[in-house]
Amino acid sequence: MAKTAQAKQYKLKKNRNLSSVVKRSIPGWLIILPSLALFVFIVWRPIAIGIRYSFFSLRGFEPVEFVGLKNFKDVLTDTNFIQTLQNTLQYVLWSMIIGFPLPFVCAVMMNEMVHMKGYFKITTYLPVVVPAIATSLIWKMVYMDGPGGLLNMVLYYFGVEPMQWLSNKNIAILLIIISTTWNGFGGTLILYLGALQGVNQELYEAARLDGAGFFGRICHVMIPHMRGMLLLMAIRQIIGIFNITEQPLAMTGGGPSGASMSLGLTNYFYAFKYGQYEKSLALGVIVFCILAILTYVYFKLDKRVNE
Amino acid sequence: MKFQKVITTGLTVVMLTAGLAGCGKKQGTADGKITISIGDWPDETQTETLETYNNLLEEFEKKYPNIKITPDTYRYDTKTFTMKASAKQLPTMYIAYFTELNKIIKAGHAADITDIMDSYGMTEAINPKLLDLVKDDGGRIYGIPTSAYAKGLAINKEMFREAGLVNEDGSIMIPDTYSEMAEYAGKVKEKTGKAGFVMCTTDNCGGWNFLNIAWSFGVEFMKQNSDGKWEATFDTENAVAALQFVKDLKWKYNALPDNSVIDQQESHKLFGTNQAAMTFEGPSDDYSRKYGMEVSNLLEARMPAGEYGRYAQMGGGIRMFAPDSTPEQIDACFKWLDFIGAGKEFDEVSVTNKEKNYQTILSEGGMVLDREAFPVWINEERVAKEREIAAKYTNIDPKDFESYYNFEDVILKPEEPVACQQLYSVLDGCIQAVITDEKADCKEVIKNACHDFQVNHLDKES
Amino acid sequence: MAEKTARKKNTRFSDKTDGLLNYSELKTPKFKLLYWTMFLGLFIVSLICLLPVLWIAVSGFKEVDEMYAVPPTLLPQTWNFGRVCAVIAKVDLVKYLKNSIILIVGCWACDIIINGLAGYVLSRLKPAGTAFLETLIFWSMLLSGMSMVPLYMSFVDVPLLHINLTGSYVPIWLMAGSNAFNILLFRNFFNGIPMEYLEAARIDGCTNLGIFSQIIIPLSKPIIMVVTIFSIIGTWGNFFWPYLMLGNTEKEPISVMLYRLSSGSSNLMDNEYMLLMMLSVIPMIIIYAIFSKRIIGGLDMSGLKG
Repeated sequence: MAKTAQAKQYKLKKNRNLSSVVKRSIPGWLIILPSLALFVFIVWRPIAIGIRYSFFSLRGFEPVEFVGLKNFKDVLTDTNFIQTLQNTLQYVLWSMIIGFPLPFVCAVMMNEMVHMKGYFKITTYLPVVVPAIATSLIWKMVYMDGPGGLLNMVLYYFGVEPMQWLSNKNIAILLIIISTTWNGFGGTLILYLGALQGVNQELYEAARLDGAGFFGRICHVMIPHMRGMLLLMAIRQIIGIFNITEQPLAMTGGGPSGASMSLGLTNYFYAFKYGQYEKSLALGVIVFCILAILTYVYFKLDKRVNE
Repeated sequence: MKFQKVITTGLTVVMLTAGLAGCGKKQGTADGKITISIGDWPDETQTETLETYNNLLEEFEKKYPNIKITPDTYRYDTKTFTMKASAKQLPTMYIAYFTELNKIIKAGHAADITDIMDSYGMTEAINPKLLDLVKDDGGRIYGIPTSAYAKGLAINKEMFREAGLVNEDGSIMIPDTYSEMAEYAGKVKEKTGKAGFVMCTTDNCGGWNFLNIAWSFGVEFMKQNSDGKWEATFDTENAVAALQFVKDLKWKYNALPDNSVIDQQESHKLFGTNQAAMTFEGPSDDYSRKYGMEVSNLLEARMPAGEYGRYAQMGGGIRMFAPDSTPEQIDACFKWLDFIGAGKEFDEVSVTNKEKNYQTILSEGGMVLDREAFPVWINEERVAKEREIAAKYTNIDPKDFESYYNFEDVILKPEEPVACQQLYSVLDGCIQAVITDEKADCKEVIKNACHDFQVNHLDKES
Repeated sequence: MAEKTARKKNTRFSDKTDGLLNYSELKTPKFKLLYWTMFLGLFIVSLICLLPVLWIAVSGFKEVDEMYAVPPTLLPQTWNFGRVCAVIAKVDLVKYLKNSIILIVGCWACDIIINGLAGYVLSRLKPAGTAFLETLIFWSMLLSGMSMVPLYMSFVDVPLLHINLTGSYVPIWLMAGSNAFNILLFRNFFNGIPMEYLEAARIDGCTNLGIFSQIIIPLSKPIIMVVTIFSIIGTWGNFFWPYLMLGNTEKEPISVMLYRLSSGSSNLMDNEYMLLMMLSVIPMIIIYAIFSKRIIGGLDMSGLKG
């Protein structure tokens, strides 16, 4: 069987002239056409307009005058830009440390459970379903300064004085990431769980026969299988957190004094609070460039994994 | 290959039909009728108001058969406004707020109604104080104020009593100056363990409130130089003192809530659920409608005075019109306003409808004041009539609002002229800095804020 | 796989299908300890997820000042079940539920069919230009925020066709059809299906249709389930675009109604609003409970075990 397949491949390569490539590609093109049409209409065209307008001064959303790089200059020379960029990277860093491994570890453990698996699956997903307004009430109670806050009540139990939480510049970002992780890790967990169930069970057995221990099996069987998924989720998380807007808006408003301000929130302020769409678009392009570099790295890694 | 073709054709057909099925409503004039959409229509939970409005609508269309009104529940909302406006999807008439006015005018999201107002004689009929607020730099008019208020000091009577802040005759002690206010607030905290005063700190609301304090401490935020450029001028001792006052509220008097992230909703929540005794706010029934506070528990006082006077910012709603509305549509909107008793003309129908309106407010747990702080229309006869109706339905004790209505030495100020929201945002940062960090140096904070505001915003104003 | 013969309900080690740990290992104390440590860890995590949600779920029964009291009360001092009726009387939940279902079904179909096919093409058919397409699709994930206004404008006046799509479900459905993340999920999943299966089937004389319906689809059940869950729950809570498109029409789904009532001067007390929100979550928990079982189901049928 393998021989015929090989022969086929060989034949294909030999005939690789333009017409055969086109002929071979037509069905694929046809099937992906609706999807592409939607992407053009819903994603790429609006983005192209947005990028074009970032070089204009706008009245509302009507271009008034071509201003070249002025909007970019305005955004980059803002005295808070560097600080905000650093904050955003800090968000990403914390989310990679806390938010990224947690769902994976939970999924691996859950995949091994025979007891109460259904219960674990449902409870870990609950925070995903609960509306944001309700969860913000929870976290307000948890992070409240003064003796009435839940964390402070716990500290009091251990005889520690009440602490400042969200009003503490140094940990505001960390706290926001913790709450964001709580809110969203159930979704990622389900993906991992789905992927884990695709691991070829015989490989475990083989590894076991080779004398691999618990961690050996994780490293040599599970991780290689999961690598594609892990990479996809990592890049998705980096992109998501890089644009983080709603959570700091609801929890700190970017404060105290800009300590938890993110690029996404700055963008939100430009567009909706100050009515400066041109700046918001320019910032969008800048963020895109930063992310594009990260994406490039992703593709390099992805390629290596797929090979 | 058949299989792929089937799928592709299938999908294309589905998408096309779906697309065509989606063709829908077009606005404008249809069969000679003038069609307008009116925003801020009551939603289904406001059962009685909705019924009243629907009846009004029916009667209105009977009276003016050539006008067709489409109710629109759209309410101004920062997140969606710019989007709706950019795509020309705003209702013909919508309500926006004083704080957003500059932004809306600058973006061209509201129609210039100067000429039409003039031709109807409305320009003279409106309270000039309010009219100034809805004009742009060139003196063009962009809206009709719905109602206006000056900021005041809202006091929770129950908590004041609990803290023993009552005069000998049993009336509530009203703080007259900022230092008194701080002192009382500290006392509330001491006696009840709850915050004596709540002040917004985020979402630009903090800066908005801080303006009142700063003005009373003699701060001038900006000035225009002879070359037309704006300069930030608040790196002064006065601004430092004003910020120091806020800092003292937190650390010296311990009067602010434990939570330091407070937007307007949060501040309403704390005040409305008996967790803070005072806040800066005009008369509002949000507390009773949303948080179950008794209307009679609210005492509204005028703003405290500082060394440089007693300042209060004006606030309120403005009816504005979609930028592409035709004069006929605006005319139809004016007719509707007259009809519901909010327009220039005030006849029998307006009276009945105004009364109906009050009745529904009462039935939904709202608050009816015995008079408007700033009547929009200044025709004396009308003001008297309106006051008469309001007095009939009011559910407040006029004594609780006596101090508020005493505008004798209150200096009313509009927004700062340029980059207002940006200024608020910068000031938000200052407030957060001093209430979250006991060691923050007010002088340093103000200096940085002034510099930031100049470099990031004023220098970039074109 | 002797363990698999015992097919009782899954509460005994002997039911454990092979995995990181298998049945025979779990008999040794070392692995038992490991297992129960993991169990404890998960249990703590599950409590951290469950308890706050339960707490917030019952808080709508509290009076407003109790709801926001500091320090918070654990359970409502009085249970006012009449409030649920009061809320239901004020809001026509059935209407909104119906709209939500229409919206969800459309989005789900687009999520699965359009994204699934695109993922299949990129993974298996690989026509010329695949690499370029993948790059473009991927990059569109990076720029989500900046295209909002132009996108909205093009729904109001669709380019070429010049029709106004506001007030219809179509824009939301179409947006579901251009979900880059789903495409990549499908692509990655299809990439994981060994080529030999397809080759074998082809040699057995299967047509493309046959391969797709008899091999790809059955194998894809786990990924379809996962995307289904994401699609249903995501659409259920999505309010921003539905609000722009369907707000103020008879087609508003539940999420839009909730958003509208939160920002307006609605006549709902805060505790009533909280109850309304929690009521709106219940169908999603049920749906999740049903579908998440199916993900386990995907394991049994997967031909990957050989």
